[in-house]
Amino acid sequence: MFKAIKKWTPANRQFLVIGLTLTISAQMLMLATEYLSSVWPLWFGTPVILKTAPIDPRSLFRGNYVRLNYDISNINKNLTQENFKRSEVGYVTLKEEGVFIATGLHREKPKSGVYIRGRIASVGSGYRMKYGIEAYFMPKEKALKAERSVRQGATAEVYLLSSGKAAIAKFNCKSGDC
Amino acid sequence: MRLFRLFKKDMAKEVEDWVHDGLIESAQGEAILARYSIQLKDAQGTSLGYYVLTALATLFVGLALILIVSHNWDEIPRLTRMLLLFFITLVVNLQGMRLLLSGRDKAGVLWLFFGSICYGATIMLIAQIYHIGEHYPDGIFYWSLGVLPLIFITQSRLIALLCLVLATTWAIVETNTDFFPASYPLFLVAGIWLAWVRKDSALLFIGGLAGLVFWFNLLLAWIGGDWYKFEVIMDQIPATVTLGLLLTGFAWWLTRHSDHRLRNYGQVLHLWLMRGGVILLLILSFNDAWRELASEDYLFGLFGPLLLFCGGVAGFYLARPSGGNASGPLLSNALFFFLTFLWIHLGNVNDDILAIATNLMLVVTGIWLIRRGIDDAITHFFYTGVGVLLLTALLRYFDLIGDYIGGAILFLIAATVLFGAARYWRSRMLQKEVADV
Repeated sequence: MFKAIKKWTPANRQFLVIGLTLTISAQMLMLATEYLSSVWPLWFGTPVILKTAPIDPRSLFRGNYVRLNYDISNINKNLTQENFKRSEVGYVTLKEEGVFIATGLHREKPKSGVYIRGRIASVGSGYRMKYGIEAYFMPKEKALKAERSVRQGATAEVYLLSSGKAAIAKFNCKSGDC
Repeated sequence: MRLFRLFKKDMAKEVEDWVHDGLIESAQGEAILARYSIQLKDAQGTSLGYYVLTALATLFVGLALILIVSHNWDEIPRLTRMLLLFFITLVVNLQGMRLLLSGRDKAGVLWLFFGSICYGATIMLIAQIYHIGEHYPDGIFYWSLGVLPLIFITQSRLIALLCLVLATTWAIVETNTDFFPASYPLFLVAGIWLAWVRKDSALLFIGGLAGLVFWFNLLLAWIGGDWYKFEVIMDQIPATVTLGLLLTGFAWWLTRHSDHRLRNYGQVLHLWLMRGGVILLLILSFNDAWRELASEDYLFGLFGPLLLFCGGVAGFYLARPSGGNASGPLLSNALFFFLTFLWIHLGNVNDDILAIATNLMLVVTGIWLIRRGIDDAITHFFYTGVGVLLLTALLRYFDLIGDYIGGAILFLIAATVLFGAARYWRSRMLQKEVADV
């Protein structure tokens, strides 16, 4: 076996062909998985509208974006009977009252209704949640405009899979500047 | 005497000039250079220069590509943008594969290097197009993971360096978002493997070991935070010093290795550990530092001093065959840290005494460095020694231990040690001269 490993050098043509084919295929597969997991909720999810307030930072690799702080990002401790630690996964049940609002936080996935899967980002007087839909990427000028017009209110159109996974489709400012 | 590795090329160039001027024969030149594990052909650095510049140019093109992607061209349909970058990644990687298979190794590696950057840019583009905000360090992790197999396949230092930089960036941002980068060692070990088995790269070797020490500290802080958050614990200091002692022993073991590459790694590792040790002693030379160390709780209790003892013994065992210059400083540092941390655990610590002891350790370290610098003709040891002594004096002049009288007494003790060392040295030199006559 060790003799075979010793032959694994770039000078070995067969090793190069197999190794590079597998690596390039793995890279393409990873990209395809990332793409599919991003569009899956948009294709097969249930749409909900959430109230949000944006601020504008810049990501190191992905350009400018609007960071979205949802009303459902802060969960009051009254909404749950359970004690959560930071980084734990939780399911927030939602109810439509014009926009969707949080009605409960559970450790187990609810059997029915509309719910979103998130992770506890911090624990204080309530639970600060992250759902993976906190960033909305825009060209710099648009992002700055969106930040200015936020005071009039904004909503986000989000799609939810039955697993609770969320994907953001649209971000709307009430002024229409976004 | 050993020649500092950065000057080896200058040495080769110098000897090449002697051969060219007819002062020595080519065979003599090779024989001289062989003493320093180099050859006459090492003076020709042009192909390396070309390769480094081309690699940097490729990196800049890659960075430009990431910035172009970051601009967020929402006038172009998102599927078109994504397919375009997908296509570029595939074509660039296939071109790298084609060149490697046709025997053009360096060009092939450069294309695969660029392909790796395109791959990362595509990950970021998909995240941007579909607004993936969920734990953004994951993107950098999958980027590093996609590049990782190329280290084994191409066995290229350039690609290993890219992978190590990406993995380190991931480990840092993962830590900043309060998650533990559990798989970071996987990337470090790959880099160390390449430097150990295949290629000469002190940067990969030392960088990999430094990364492992960094990760070990993160692990201890993660344990301190009950495995769900980072909580810096005082046990990290004795544990890190233990690692330092073990690595110092390992560095000395390497300097005795038959492979000149590994001997070189040993020298560089020893140099950086020595610098790290001096910086740690300088930090601990303030009594506030010892007061804080004495007032904090220790999660692992007596286990810290015990670790220091075991690390010291193991390091000493590894360094001893290299002689007194190797094992002496290692043993004195191990004893110093073992006794100080043992005292902290036993209680009733006097932080002034610990700070004075640390300052005396610095003085002794400075003297030892100066002595080695002169005895072994290693210039940077000499100047580091002078620097340590001057810096210690400067720090103590501005930050007195105790009051003015206490500070004066410390300076007088340090002066006595220095005078004593100087007189001992002179008497040794005189004995040597007498013996030579």
